[in-house]
Amino acid sequence: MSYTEIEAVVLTTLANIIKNKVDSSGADVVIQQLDSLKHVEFIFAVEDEMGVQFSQEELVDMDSVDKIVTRVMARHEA
Amino acid sequence: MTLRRYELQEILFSDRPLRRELLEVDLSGKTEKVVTVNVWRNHAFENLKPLIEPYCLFGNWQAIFNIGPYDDSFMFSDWRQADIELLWLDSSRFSLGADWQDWLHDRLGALRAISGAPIILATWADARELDKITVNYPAIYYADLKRVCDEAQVDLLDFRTSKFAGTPVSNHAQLIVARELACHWLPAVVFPPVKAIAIDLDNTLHDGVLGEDGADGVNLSSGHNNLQIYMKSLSRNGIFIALISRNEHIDVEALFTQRKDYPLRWEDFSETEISWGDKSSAIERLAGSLRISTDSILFVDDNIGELVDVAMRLPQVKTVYAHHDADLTRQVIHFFPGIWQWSVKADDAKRVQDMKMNAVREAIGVNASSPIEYFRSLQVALTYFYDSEKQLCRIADLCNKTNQFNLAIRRFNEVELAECLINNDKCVASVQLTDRLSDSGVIAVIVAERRKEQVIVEELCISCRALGRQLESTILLIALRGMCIFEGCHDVVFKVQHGARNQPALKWLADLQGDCDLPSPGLYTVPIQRLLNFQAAEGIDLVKG
Repeated sequence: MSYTEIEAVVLTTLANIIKNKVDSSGADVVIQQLDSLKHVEFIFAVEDEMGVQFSQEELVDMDSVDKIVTRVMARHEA
Repeated sequence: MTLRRYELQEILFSDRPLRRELLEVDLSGKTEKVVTVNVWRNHAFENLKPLIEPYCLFGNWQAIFNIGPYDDSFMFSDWRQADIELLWLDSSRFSLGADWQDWLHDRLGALRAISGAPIILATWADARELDKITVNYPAIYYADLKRVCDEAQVDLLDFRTSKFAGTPVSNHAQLIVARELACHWLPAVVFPPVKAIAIDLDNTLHDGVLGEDGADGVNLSSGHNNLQIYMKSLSRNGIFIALISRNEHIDVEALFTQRKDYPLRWEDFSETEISWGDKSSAIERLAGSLRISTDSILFVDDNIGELVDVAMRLPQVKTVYAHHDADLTRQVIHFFPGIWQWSVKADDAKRVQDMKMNAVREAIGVNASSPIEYFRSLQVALTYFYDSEKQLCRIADLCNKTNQFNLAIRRFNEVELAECLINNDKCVASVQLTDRLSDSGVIAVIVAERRKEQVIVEELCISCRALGRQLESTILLIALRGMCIFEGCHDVVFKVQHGARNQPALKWLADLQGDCDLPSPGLYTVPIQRLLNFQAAEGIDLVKG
């Protein structure tokens, strides 16, 4: 999957979690404002959608779309 | 809403549901029931709530969770009344051993003392040890998270995410556990069970149309084979399986004779409704012949039109869409609230066999010259038990499941009944019915209390499987007379409540008094002499258990 395709999945998943529309320009702020439970829900949903599992170290700073997409790509390449 | 429910079956009941898809489910609308659940926990439960919700809505109910603070000591502070108590316990936070078991036993006892609601202990640890702990109190159930995750081939724990999630329960395990909670564990303690499945034939129990493809042309796929095996297992657990099909009767019967590869045999169906008439009328006839109410029937069909028609005409009937993938249909039935039970009691399993024998009993009745000859030829026996702790679970079941012959509609739960057993002023009578054709099990219950010169009957009920045999008065009045609290009393006072379908019980009480009108809600006093004068039906063996 390309960066853009993964980004689209991440944004759709985020919109689903917050039950509102979200675009790439405002997504990072939304992610950083999620409470801890919603954040976990979001990361779990991304893991489900992309068929990956992030490491404990990675989970600490999953605070932007770019970091998430990059890590998903790395997992897929591996 | 009905059509949307059918569309969602694929998402909700796939082997591996997806979190995003569950969170997207929109099933707004008024639900039939609302259930409150106190959640006592030492790890996060909040993540499960949005996953549980779509399953509850699918089952036409709503759960309101009162989630307590994180508390490893489980003190149950600020307890308030609820329908269910859920202990959501992370056992990895304790060093497990005898001390822990004693502590847990103590905590369950403390909760039992303040709450009469069913308690579900949801955790993971040695199942045998926890089973031992939970049997010491009434209405406590062990929900084994590890077992359901093992069955779903999903890892229960994921310590990688536990710090962030507030629970070691893994992402995938949360999805599986949420479904178990919403479809099995919670409904099984508060909702009446499904008593019959009325299932279509063509494109439901096999692939193809009998009238077009012929008996040899219809295909038993692996999924349909599994579905038939599953239906057979439900029948063994006491759920009636009824065939409801638009076909020629002779063709369908020939199909089951001819197709030796079908796991379901013709005799596995408790009833068959094969005609070209509408299916809602067929379901009403099924309910009548099985002596159950239509709200305890689950109707399964691949034709959306038939399903919608039944849902419109008989909204109380539960409906499931049969998919082309019969394994998915099996999953939907398996997870339908009211199908799964915490345990299958011997008396439940007897139901199907017992009902089959009714046709034989009716034939004997027609040929018998008198009721005495009828009872003698059947070797009818009634066994009376008093304050039987062993039957507590079955007695609670009867109080909660009976709809036609119950006088006060007082739904005693196991905890309340257990209190009656140890109270000298109260008595719980239970009656078992057997004849030479079958053992019907415990079919009647009376809960009564002595107050000065009166015996107050708080509730009496007879299972529908024992109705229509002219045994009601012998069952109830002999049971009342045998109670230790009966001695020396002057009157028996029956508590009366009107329900949607309890006219048979009301009529019985009116007949006992010689009244033409049904008794009004309230208290209904019967002089003791009337009970003492009663003669049990002749030809019946009356036994003290």
